[in-house]
Amino acid sequence: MLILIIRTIILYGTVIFSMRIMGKRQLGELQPSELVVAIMISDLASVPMQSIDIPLFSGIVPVLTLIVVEICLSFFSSKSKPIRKILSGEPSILIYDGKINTKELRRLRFCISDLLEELRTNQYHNISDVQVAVLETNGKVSIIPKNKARTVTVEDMKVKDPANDGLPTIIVSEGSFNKNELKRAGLTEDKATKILNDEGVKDISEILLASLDATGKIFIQLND
Amino acid sequence: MRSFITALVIGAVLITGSILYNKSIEKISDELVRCNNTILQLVYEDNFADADELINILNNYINEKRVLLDATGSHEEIDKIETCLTELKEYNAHLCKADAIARIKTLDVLFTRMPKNYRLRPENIL
Repeated sequence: MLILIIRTIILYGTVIFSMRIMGKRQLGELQPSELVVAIMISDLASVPMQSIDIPLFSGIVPVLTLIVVEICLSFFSSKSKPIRKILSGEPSILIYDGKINTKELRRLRFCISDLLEELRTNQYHNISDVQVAVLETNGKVSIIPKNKARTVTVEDMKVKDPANDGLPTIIVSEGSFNKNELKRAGLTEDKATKILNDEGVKDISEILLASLDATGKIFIQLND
Repeated sequence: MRSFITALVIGAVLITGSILYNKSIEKISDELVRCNNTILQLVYEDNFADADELINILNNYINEKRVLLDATGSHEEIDKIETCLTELKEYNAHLCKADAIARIKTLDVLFTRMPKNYRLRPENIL
């Protein structure tokens, strides 16, 4: 029994290592080759996990081999368009200029109801609102709406000097300064302490989270 | 780029490790077959005392190389070798020549087969 636990922990570590080394893309939208690798890894890891008759290495070696192949292929596909085309395919235009591309739908074995479902999922309930719809290589449908259906932008509204939200910097998290974020905000620990003192905070350890937005506004949440 | 280099390093380790592993298995198999043939000769000559000593040496050698054998070889196959070796020891101790020879022949097949599955041959790939 203990052997099973140890083997499971080792394989779990191997799979975590594999997913980490393959990068964040592997955790989000998968390209066809990445999906294949994810499925194969899960299967390869589970077999020696369940059966102690199968050597652990017969699970680990193929998993590591898949990682090596996958990383090498993604590296080469990022450098070469033909390799990328073979591995991931190309985006397909499903709707162009407001007109459904039935030939492409047939080729992709995509029926009208699938298309309508994708449009609804993207908040377009009326097909006449869609200018272009593209089926991306990761299987998601991207939509460009017609001018009458698109959301109003700041530019459309001609707002003068719109507020620049930027990315707030988390200067204190769980009672300690975040040095990288302080650097990004152009602050030193002394300066930040002074700002926090001005806000009525006596000790930094009282703070659960303190963030500074692009306009210099500070948000402080104290520990309960 | 970092993950690509890591992948290349892992790939190099895997290939080198596989080559070294194959060589070690071939070496172990050769040694086991050689020892097994000597036991066979001794049993043919009714020299059961010396055969017993060699069976013990063979057993110790397998135990010594156990980690390497278990690492990627089928555990079932290793268990089969162990069972066969125990039977051989008992048949030899009780001077059952025919049974002992049968076990030695079985062991010969198992020892020879050991590296066979790992050789880079089309039949193994397919």
